[in-house]
Amino acid sequence: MKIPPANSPPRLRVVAQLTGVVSYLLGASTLIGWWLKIDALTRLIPGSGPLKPSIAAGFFLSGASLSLLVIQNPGKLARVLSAVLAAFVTALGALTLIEYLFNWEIGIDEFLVRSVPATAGVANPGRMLPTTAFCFLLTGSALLFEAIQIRRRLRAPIVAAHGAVLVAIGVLAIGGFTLERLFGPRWNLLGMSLSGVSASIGFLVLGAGLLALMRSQSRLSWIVDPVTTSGFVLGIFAAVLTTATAFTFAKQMLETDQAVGHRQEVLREIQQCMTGMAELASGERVYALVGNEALLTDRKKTSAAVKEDLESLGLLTVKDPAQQQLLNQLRQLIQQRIDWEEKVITVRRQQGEVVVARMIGTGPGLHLSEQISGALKKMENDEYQRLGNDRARAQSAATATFLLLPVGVFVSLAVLGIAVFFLNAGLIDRAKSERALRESLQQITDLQTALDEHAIVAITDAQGKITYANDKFCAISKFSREELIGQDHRVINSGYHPKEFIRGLWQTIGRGKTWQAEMKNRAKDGSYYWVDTTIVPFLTEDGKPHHYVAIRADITERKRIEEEIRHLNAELEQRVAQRTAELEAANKELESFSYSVSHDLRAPLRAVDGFSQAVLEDFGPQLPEEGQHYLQTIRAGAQRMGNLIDDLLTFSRLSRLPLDKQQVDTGRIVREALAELREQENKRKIKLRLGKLPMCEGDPALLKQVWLNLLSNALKYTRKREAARIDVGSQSENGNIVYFVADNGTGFEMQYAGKLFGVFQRLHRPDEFEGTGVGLAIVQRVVHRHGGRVWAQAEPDHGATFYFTLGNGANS
Amino acid sequence: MKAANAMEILVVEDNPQDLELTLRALRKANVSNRIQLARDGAEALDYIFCEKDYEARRIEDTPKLILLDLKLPKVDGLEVLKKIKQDERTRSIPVVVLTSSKEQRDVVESYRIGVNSYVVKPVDFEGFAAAVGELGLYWLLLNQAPKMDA
Repeated sequence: MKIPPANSPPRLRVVAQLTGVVSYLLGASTLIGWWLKIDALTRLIPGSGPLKPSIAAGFFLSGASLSLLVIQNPGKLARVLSAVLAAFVTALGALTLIEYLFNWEIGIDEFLVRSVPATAGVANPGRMLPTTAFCFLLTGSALLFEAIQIRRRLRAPIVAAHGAVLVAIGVLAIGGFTLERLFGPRWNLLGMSLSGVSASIGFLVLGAGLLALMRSQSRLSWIVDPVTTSGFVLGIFAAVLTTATAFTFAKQMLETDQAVGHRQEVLREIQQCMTGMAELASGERVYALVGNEALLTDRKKTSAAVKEDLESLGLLTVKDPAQQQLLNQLRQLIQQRIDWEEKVITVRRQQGEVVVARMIGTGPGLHLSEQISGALKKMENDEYQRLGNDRARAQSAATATFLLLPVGVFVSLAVLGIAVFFLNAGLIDRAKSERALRESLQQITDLQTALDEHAIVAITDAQGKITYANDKFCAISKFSREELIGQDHRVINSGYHPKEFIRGLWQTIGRGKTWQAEMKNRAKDGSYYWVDTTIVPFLTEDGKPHHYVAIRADITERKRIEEEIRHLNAELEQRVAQRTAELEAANKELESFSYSVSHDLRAPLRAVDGFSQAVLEDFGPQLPEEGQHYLQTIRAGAQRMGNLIDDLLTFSRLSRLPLDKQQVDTGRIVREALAELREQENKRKIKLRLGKLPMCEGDPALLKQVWLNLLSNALKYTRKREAARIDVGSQSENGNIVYFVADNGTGFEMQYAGKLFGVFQRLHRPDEFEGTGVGLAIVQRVVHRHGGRVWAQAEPDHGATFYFTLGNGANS
Repeated sequence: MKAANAMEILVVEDNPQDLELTLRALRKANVSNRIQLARDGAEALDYIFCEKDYEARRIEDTPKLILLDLKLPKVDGLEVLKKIKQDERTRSIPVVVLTSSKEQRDVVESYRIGVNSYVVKPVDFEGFAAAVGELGLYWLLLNQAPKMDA
């Protein structure tokens, strides 16, 4: 989940808008200057040449087009208008180039302003330079592409590249101009004139505007590394420099070549002049000697040719003041010489050869000829010297060009080559990291696929709006993905959980902590489902939650089973409670039953016994012995019934009372029981042997009852023995302690052993041994309640042994 | 008659046979005090706290001894015992419980409430004598001196 990039910085938009405005203000003011003939407005830089009207129009249109495009979210109208303006600019550039290429005259140059002042040596004073036209072509096409919105993949690089090229040209031009200003004309590598610089500033501004426009649309991000970028820039710069240098030297060579040709012409003229003069001089001398008029026929022509030569020389050396001075001298001398010759010819014709000979011998003719010849020679020498200089300069320029050009090309090639390989290395790295990225992406995709197979997944934004829902989520909630996206989780809120629960959830994840719980949700069709939910918050760099990922597992079935179990448990508990209550009621009933038995059943017995005794006490002496015996029997019967009731009640109480388990000192309670029993049997001779009696865990009162009953039985059934012997002790059996009481008494037949522990079960007649038949039943009941076991081993007349354990773990 | 009133014994018993045996035992023990009978718990309370039929009585004239059966109609013996022992005015009256059985529950509860002694029915002379002896009342109840009557 990446945050979308912030909207274009408004500052860049302002910069782009500003460049547009500057451009069309420049164009507009210049055009106004041309129309109203305000010279200052036509010159961007004071003292420079004026900006041509066609160039001004180009800037105006370009600036307007750019300004329209920079408007935030330009409408269709603005785009169309901008496209039209850009098309005009493109046409201006293209048509001007066509004019140059095919040497046509279309007339666009004078379309706006007709009277552009002529400049010497320029054919079309209103026409812009081809470089300027090319720049307009670039500007116009870039604006057009942007305005008609060609495919972005094409548009962004084209527009940006055009902008960059315009900026580069502007910088180079201004740089060249600055160099010229600082170091002289030879260093103006691009040969920019002052008016060219004004246009360059305009293009620099437009180029910057295009770049700002691209950047403001976030279409100008540079990811090539700085080394590669600077390599390319250096390479291109080197190439441009090489080209510029070659251009400059070529221009110099051309200039020196022209100069050499010029000098040779000058020399030729000088020689013609010399030849002409020599011809005139010799013609004059021969005529003076022979007087043949035929010799003078070409004389006029020759002197005219010499004068013509002089005029040519004057024109050729017009830039050379030293030669001009010499030429002025020559002109006078030659005129004087020609005048002298004319005078000689006239004297020969009129006065004859003797006078002429004297005249020639004394006249200035010879001196003039020498002067003329000297001046011409000097001119010739000077020209030869200059010719030598020019040749040397051309030679050096050629040498420099031949040396520098290949070196420059090689340097450019080398730098560009390095840049290319850097780029390649960068691309290899990038491809590698892309592959790694693809692999880790694949891994993440695999994980997600697996997760989607297993779990219900949803992603929400910081506000809880669902931004992602997987198929399982849709399947379980029965909502379509479209219905879920943009909603928050309230759509599946079941209302089952209290507000605090939901608040707790938000508090936890709001603090950046993972939240985990089981939740009940509601599907679209109103059915409910349970999910085990884990919500993981993902934070922004400043620690605030940015989005949440919720992973859920369907636990509806488990919840149903849990609910069922809970239900069954509750049912069971209720049943147990019911049974317990029933049992308690039964117990209570039993208790009140035995309570009333103990009170009410006894009342009549008391009456029987009490009044029998009263009769015996009050009327005993009057009764016959038999009557007294009967009353005694009645009393014994009533008392026996009282004992039976007591034993029965004891037995039932032992079954009801809760066990009070604790550590019991078996030896101590056995000794206490024996002490109680011995009081009743103190006359007898009994051999008692007490063995080892380990501690045990149990209810001391009940266990004492057990020992009392067993020991009293042993005493009772040994009553008929002369030497009664009773052994009390314990033995270990399978890790359990087995207590025993053995006697040498009457014993019993083992076939009746099963009846021993029943209530009211007796193996002896009451007249043999008294007893109610409850004692052993009590023993068995207590032992069983302790989880133990009781059994007996006996033989008639050889005694009996009773064993009991207190169950596993009951012994210690 | 003031002295005689002060010496009376309250016997609370519903079973006529038990009552007869009790009275016989007392008689045989030569206890000559005036004996007041109550046939159920409610009547016993009325007598002790001078209510209803016994309104004329003064509560200060407490019986010297109360023989109390536990199993009684209307209000049972333990309840009667509790009322006696909770009231400031009657707390000091010695109470001997007459019980039919050695039912542990009754014994424990009686002593908890504050019974002075415990005698198992049928009331034989030895048992009664032991109980009264424990209370130090024996010579007051037994062979009462004639001068007290005067």
